[in-house]
Amino acid sequence: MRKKFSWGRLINGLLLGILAFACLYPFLNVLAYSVSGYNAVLSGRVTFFPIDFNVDAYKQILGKTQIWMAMRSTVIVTLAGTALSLFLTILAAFALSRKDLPGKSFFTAVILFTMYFSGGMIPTFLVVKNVGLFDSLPALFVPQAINVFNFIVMRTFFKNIPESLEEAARIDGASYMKVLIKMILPLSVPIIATIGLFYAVGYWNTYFDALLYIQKPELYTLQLRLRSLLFGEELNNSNANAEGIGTQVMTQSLKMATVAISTIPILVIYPWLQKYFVKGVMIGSVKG
Amino acid sequence: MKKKVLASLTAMLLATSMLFGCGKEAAETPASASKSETVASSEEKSGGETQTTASKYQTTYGSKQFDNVTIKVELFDRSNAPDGSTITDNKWTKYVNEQMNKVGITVEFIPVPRWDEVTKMQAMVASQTAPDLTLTYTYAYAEDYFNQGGTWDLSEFIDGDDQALNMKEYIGNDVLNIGRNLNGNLYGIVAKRATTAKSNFFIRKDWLDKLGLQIPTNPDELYTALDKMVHENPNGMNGVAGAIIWNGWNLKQVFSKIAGDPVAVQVCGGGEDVIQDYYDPGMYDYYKYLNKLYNAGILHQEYYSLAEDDFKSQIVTGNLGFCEYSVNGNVDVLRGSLLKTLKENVPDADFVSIPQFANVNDGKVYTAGYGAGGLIAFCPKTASEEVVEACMTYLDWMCTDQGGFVLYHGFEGEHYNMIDGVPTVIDAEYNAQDKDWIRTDIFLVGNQGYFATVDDFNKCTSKEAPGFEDYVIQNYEYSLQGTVNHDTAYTSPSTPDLITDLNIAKDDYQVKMITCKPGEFDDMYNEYMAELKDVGIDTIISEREEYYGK
Repeated sequence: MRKKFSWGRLINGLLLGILAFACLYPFLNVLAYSVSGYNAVLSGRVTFFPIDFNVDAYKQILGKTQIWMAMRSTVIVTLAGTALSLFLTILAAFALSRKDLPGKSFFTAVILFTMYFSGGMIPTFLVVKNVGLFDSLPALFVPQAINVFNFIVMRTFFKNIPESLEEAARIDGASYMKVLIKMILPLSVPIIATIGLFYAVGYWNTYFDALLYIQKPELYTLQLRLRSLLFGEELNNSNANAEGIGTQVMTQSLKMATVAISTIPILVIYPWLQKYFVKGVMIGSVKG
Repeated sequence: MKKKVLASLTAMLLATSMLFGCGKEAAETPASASKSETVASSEEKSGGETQTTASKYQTTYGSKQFDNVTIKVELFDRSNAPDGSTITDNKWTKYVNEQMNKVGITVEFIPVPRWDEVTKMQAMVASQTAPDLTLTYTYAYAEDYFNQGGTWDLSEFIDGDDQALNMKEYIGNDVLNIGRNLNGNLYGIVAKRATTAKSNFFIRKDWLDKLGLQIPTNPDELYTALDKMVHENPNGMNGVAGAIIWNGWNLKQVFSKIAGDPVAVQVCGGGEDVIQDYYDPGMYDYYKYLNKLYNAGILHQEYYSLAEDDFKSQIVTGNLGFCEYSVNGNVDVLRGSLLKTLKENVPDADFVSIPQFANVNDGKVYTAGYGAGGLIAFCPKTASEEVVEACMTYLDWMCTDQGGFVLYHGFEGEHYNMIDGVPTVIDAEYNAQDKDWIRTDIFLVGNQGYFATVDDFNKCTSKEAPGFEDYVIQNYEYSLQGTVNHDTAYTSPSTPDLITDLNIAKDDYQVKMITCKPGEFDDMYNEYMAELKDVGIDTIISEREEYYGK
């Protein structure tokens, strides 16, 4: 069916087009810079399209073993972390969404408390060190396995599943575990996808914890590695303590390629989860 | 009911956490007090001993055989290790251990991402996991840790006549003394800066020649030259940017009214522009001059918000007539070999440094220079005294030809040949892969490399920009003309609290002062001064005056 031409639709389309372009432009610009020649980049001539196309910057970054090692650490942390976080969050949210759990409000309060007050950097560091997690990858996902905000969202979602469903199952002899696995989980795919994505993005971007808890260069996470690659050379001109002669030339293209490499993998996952994501974000905030 | 339980619970938890907080503090105070007492008493002991016998600690490389001591040394990681090696396991860390094993010391390197060294250092020091030799560029932290009793007083390891001989020769007492507090305690070993050259004026020489102008020698001649470059551009260009004062360090020396007073220079020479803005009445003329350039359309109209990459774009596209930039900015390989790229875009262009102008008030030449010290290395109390002794021996070794010189320049015949008495790179590409990536970070006692004299540094550096050797020599010569006013390392106690607000005012008013109409300039300047006073800059000034004995 063909729709009739109307000025409203045209203006709408134009406005949305401009908006979409405004969102896309920085990214296009980054990509164009990352594959452009040295002179063009230094002269600031690059906009959308690469000039003197080359992929040296990518070769330089991806040619480094340490980047792949960092990629491995990040993938491990993201997968293991997301799995562990989802597992624990689901269990906690399910238990605490049941009305008949004794001590429910106490445990909820304890969990909520950590949302407002944290142990602080140094005490947390000491705990991590003293339980033997220091300088190992689990240090990056075990201490913060449950995110309180995500937990609350999930609990609210579970609460909104009609009680009568569960009652029916209970009457038929299902255990709590069975109720959770056979009934709650299949009904909660959107929220699990959403929270899973929140966790995954969070772990993918692990940077500060890695800075604190990781010492072995071979366990560095991707963001930590890329950041030190990106800024390691930048200090020369910054202040009175400048180091003067440094070691290698860090071009704008290299920076841009770094940005692209750190964002693309997680961007790729997005479309697959998007349908759940859109639905999931709304759920939990809107009651009804 | 539920709410009540929750509320009282939260209140209880809060109260407990507060109690814990107090208890901790109370318990810590006596401990740190006793620590500093032990430092004081051991100092007296060693002081008495040095006069009669050999020093208690032997820190000259080779003078003592250690019994398999392992020291942990911080190493900045820039993620640039070539394939097949890591930052902690490579040719050079092996070389270090080979040499140090001869005296019974094993060096274990602890990598720390370069950009985040301060955060990581704070966490490590606070949790008592810092390496035995910890590094930072911010002296205030090192001094603070020492004053709180957290790090060793190194004077008993260094000051004896028979201690750390190589270190004293290479670093020199002047630079070593930067790491002392007012009581003479040595809280860290400061690296020697090969050159203190900081900043230069650069101008489009080809335009000057075409216009038939001489190289400007004062602000007025510069104004005339810029005016012609912009409004009667010899290449017929429209919209030329004129000038960008990327860092005004040298130009400020031209207008300064205190440049000739060494103590006043120290008071306002902390590397924070805002202090000089307030303390030096000559800054009125400095900003007025920039305002004049701006209103004549010969200062880049948005230079204040330019990113460095955009600033460089202005240079390499041949759009800029004049700038003040880092000492070797026009040809520095690290800054992108700007002149080389400019010549690719505009073949007959030439962008050269020019001599510093004389001060408009007293007619003498002053230039701005970096402080003589580079990074500082200190030993936390978690290291035993034998480990500290070994750490100092390690730094002493760094000051020798077998140590720092090799770590920085490599091996003769493989990485360099000696020409005119300076190491000259054989194959820059090979060196970059083989050693240059780690040389600045593994070499701890000197910034910018192992050089006995500034002259050696200049010659050697010029060889690193093939085809532009003369530019480099000229840059370093011009940059240190006349009296050099060095940056100081002292941070006054109230500075950290105030500096953010002061800098916000500075950022705000600098733009206003430069871009306002000439008639409004005085009001802007006075407002700026009033604002700085309101924020409390006088506290910093009086602290600094007291420190430097003004």
